[in-house]
Formats: sequence, structure tokens, C-alpha cells
Amino acid sequence: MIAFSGKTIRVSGASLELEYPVADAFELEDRIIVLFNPDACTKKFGQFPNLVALRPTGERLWTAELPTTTSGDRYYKVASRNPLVVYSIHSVECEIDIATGRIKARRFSK
Amino acid sequence: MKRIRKWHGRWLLIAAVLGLSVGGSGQWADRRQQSFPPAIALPNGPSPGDAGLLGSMGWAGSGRANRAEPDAGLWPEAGADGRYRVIDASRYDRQLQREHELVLCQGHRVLWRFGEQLREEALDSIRWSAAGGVVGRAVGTAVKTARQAVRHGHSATKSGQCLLTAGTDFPNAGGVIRSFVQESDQVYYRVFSGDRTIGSFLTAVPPRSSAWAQEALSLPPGNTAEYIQEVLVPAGARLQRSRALPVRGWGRSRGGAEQFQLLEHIPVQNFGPGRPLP
Repeated sequence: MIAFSGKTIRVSGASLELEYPVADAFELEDRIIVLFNPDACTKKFGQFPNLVALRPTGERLWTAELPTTTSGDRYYKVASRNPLVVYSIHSVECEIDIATGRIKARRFSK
Repeated sequence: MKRIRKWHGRWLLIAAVLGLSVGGSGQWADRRQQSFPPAIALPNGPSPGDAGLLGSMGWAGSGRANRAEPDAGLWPEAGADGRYRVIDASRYDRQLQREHELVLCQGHRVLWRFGEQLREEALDSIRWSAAGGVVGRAVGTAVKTARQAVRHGHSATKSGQCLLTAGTDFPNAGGVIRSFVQESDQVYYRVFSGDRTIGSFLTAVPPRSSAWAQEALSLPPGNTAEYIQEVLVPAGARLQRSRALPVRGWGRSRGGAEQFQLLEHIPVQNFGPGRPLP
């Protein structure tokens, strides 16, 4: 069971302190999928790869690929947990490979 | 002596064909610049008839964007007040601007005509060289060169002669493409369906209906413009203005509506609640 608040995630009684506030977190197979708050990065330029997979120990397994190279791109919502489908700010719906964090399929919605 | 004449004829033919080849690649840029002022971006070729899932397409951002401008000296990187990075359409009077828009819309056809002209020239050179008695292989070579010339012409538009990319992932932006920074807070509008409550394509005026929005904004099948929302774009945010290109692969043959693409992130809370669009 996972609970989160601010930058902290609690997994089976243990706490993990992360670098950004958490918008969503859940267990998927043997890993924890974390979506950081899309507003957490306030850099004017560049992207914010804000979807990550962690081991319960806190070790990062991957950071999910973003669908565009456009500045500002990041994910804002987990639409489905299994399969893992997320929406990006730049209007692309992506299915993420939970083994690697790569995009398996994508659809542009404008 | 006979052999020398034969070689002389062949060299003349090769020179003619090579001349055409150069015209199809190197000289293309010069010709284009005469026809298209550097301050205006060309649309990136024809509508993507096969545009469907992004996964099946290459990324426009991989090479076309931010390509060095051939006439950077003529057109400063930033406009008079630093707000316009590349294009300052206001340098033109309205009539001229309309003409440019027309040229942009016709860009692909002009390109095709140029390709046709090259093909004709190549065929002429074959006829001319036929007198030299070396038509055989030359026909194939010259036609191939003509085809390459046409292909070069197409790739010239596709590979980044534009000052701005015609869209991040698809060629969905046409007309005058202009990047600017929002001077003051302003409300824009966005249409969406389902729970896709955030996106980067906006309009300055609310679309009148769902059907109109789908056609005029060339929306992909995943967006049926079920809802409309207000989006508060804060001062300082960068946007790209363009007109939606038709996308036949999505069954959108019209397009033409003015659209604004957010080129940076704005807070999620700036996207207002959706209300049904009739």
C-alpha cells in the first residue's frame, strides 16, 4: 500500500523522500510508478521528464520518455495504470513500457 | 578520331545532366529565396495523408526546427522590441501579406511545377544528345536525374528551408507562422474530449460548434471537441500563431482556422473547467 504527501512516499511503512512533489504514485508489478506534479518544475525552458519508476528501496529504474522535443513537455495525468497510459501537456497520449520507460504507442489529440 | 567524337558526345550529355542535377539541389535554395521572402515560413509539403498514430511518423523536431537561416543577416533573430523571434509579419502591408499567404498555401504546387520544369529540361537534354548517338543508357540516367530533381525539390521543403517548423509532430501549421510572447494575461479557448483537460493548441475566439471546430481546426479523430474550456495564458508565455492545415488522413479537408500553440508550460490550474460545446 502506498501513500504520498508532498515529496514523501510511504511504502510498507518505509518513507522515501523524492526531489519533487508527487501528483500520483502506485505500485505496478514489482515497482512504484511516480508522477511528479507537472507544475513542480518552474524552469522557463526545457522539458520536465516527470514520470519515473522506482524500486521499493528508492532506486530509480527509469525515467519515462517524453513524446515530443518541445520545450515545456511533461505528463500531467495517468489515464490508465495497467497498461500504463499517460497524457502529456503537448496533447499526446502515450502508452509506456513499464519495463523500460519507453513509449510503446502514442496518439496525438491536439 | 571516331572514339574521340564518341567520348566528346558522352561528355556533353553528362555535363548537361549534371547541370540539371545541380539545378535540382544547389540552385533550388536560390530560386526559392527569389520567390519566397525569408521572413515567411513555407508549409512543410502536402497534407500528411498517412498521418495517424504518432508512432508511425518521424519527428519534425528532429532536424527541421531551429535550422540556421540562410539570410540571418537580413532578418535579425529578434524583432524590433525582442518579442518576435523570427517572423515579423507587420513589416508588410496587408496586400503584400495576403499575397504571401497565397504563395504559402500554393507552395507545394509551385514546387511541383518547378519539378515538372526540371523534368522537361532533362527530357530536352536527352533529345539534344540523341544526335550524338548515345540515347540508350542516357534516357534512364536523365529520367532518373529528373526524378531526383523533383525529389530534391520536395525534400527541400520537408527538410527545413522553413524558418519555423510547421508544427511539432505533424505538418499541422500553415499560413503565416509567427512566434510571439504574450504581452499581458489573456484568455484563450481550447476544445477537447474525454478527460484530456490540458493541451497546447488554443484559439483566440471560441469555436462556434463542435463540428466546426473539428473541421476548421483539423482535429484528429481522438478529439471530437466535446467540451470547450477557457485557458488563461499569462503575460510572458510564448505562443506560435498559425492556421490549421487540412489533414486528409484524419478526414479533415478544410482547416484554415487560426490556432495558437503554447510553446512552454503554463500552470495546470490555468486550464479552466470544460463545458459542453454544442
